[in-house]
Amino acid sequence: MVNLLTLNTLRCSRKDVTEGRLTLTTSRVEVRPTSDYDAAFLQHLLPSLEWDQLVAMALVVGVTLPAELNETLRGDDAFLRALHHVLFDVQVLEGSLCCAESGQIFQIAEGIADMMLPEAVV
Amino acid sequence: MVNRAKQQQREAARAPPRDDAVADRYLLRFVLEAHTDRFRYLELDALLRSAGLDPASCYDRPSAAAAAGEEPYVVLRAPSPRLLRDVVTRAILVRDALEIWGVGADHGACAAQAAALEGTDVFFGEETTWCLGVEAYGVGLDLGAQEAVRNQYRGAFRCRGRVRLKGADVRYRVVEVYDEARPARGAAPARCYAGRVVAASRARELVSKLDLKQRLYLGPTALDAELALIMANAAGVREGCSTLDPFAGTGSILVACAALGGRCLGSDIDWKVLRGKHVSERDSGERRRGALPRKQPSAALQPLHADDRERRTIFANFRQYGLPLPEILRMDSSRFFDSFRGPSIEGAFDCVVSDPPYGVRAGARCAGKDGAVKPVPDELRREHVPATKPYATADVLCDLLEIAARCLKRGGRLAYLLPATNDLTPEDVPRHPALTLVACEPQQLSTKYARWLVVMVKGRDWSARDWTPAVRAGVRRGADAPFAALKEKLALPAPPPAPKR
Repeated sequence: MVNLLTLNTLRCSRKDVTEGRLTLTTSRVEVRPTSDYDAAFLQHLLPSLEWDQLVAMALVVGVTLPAELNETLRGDDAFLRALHHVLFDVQVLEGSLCCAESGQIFQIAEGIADMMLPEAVV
Repeated sequence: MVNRAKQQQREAARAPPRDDAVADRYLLRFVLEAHTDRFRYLELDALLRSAGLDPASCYDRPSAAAAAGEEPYVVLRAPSPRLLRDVVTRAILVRDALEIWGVGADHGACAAQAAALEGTDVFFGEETTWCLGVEAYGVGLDLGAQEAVRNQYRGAFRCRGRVRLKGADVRYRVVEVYDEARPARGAAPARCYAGRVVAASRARELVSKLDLKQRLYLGPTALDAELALIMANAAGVREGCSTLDPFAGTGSILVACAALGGRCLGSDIDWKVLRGKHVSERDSGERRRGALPRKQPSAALQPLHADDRERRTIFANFRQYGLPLPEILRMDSSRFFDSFRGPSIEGAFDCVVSDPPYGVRAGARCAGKDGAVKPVPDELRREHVPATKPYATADVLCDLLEIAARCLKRGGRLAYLLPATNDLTPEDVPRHPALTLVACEPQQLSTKYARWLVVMVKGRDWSARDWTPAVRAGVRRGADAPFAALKEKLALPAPPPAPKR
């Protein structure tokens, strides 16, 4: 089942895009605790996240995250718990990812994100 | 879960009053199986390393020639019982460990040493139940002979409590080891060991729990549970490790990784494989009344999940064992990094474990099409399945190494399988500048071919200069010496005959 952490690592694989930023739309989402909260692991994870994209995706599944990351937040337990929830507990079952630059759409079906491009654009 | 907690409580209650070791040497007993015996030390080394120990300082490794068909014991020095338990409980190929109280050329010397050992009295209390096992490798000891051996140890194991053969608080054991594989009748053992069993493998239970016979969703290339678990251990998978399999298929490797506590990400190009197949009513787990029940599923398995009744997907295999579901992406491993933001995936994984497709049982495919490509009309785009073409073995291996080199943390490990002839040498194994070969051991498939388990560790940071298109192209053409040598040895099917014109 694909979670927001995994979705946050993805980009559009078309050769003609520079950033390939993806926007999420969902039609079926499941929320259930999957892994134990680990503050150190999250702090370690923070620098590799594309924050703006995560904020936008979190909004789609109904979670509002602060627009800017700062030092206080990094040590804030309540914030880290909310982050853990949005990264790991929210599972997207059905939906799609859309590339803002090329308009390419990647389907998410039954919890599997399909990142393949049609052969005409490979 | 409740059972596990109860069991742990019982074990805690049973543990002797003092947990500190009376000796720092342990006799490890390996699982006796011809098809895994070459993986014993490979797995043990990986487990020792992941417990923070240096294998070279823990035991003297027998030479490779002696290791094959050799006695299934090794003496291990461990700095603490806690570390020893960590290693042994997670092992697939170690059954248990004996704290060595005595060792000698015969039972007399061994018993005398054990009797002289200080600090053993705490195990002999009146309330402590016990048993004393006698075992020998290569010879059968009848009950009389066993009893004769036991009697020699009265002075060493001065137990006052009651004997309990099953579930005793303290289990003692005497082991006879012979030099020859098949000693003559009445031959004297080369060495005897006596001691107390201090740790047993827990992970070994997973071999039967994850048995493919009970697996809900299988593909033609599903890897057997034992080898998958050994690979996971070889790659260092343990609680909380992030684990990647870029050729996931039906998830037989990821299931093993998840069972050992890994957080899993899998990818595969085949939509049909990932999304599974419909199952007939006969197999759906809901028996028609009057029909004979098939083999009862093991009690360790979860009841069939509603989502898995009609169709089995890769997730069914995880739900079945109550494991956390993996993250699954459908993508082309030959274009793996096109789909990820660079910094998000580089150095993100502790372990990469994979059984890549070599075309032996299932052909490898990657995205693309030879010849003209027709654009897909918009109205068909949703249903369109992108074309794939055969994926050359050299490319599969190049891509796997590159994925591991970039995705692993420094010190992270790659474990994968390579089907090749029996005479493969470490020099033949494909190299990557960022990866160092740790071990390469075979599982014999036939007189000519074997399945080699290759373990590599990421020794230094990945750099784009390591793996230029020129280097890759060289490997692909066979110009690179190691790969050219490997090509001769790979167990690949003959290329299909050229089409007639």
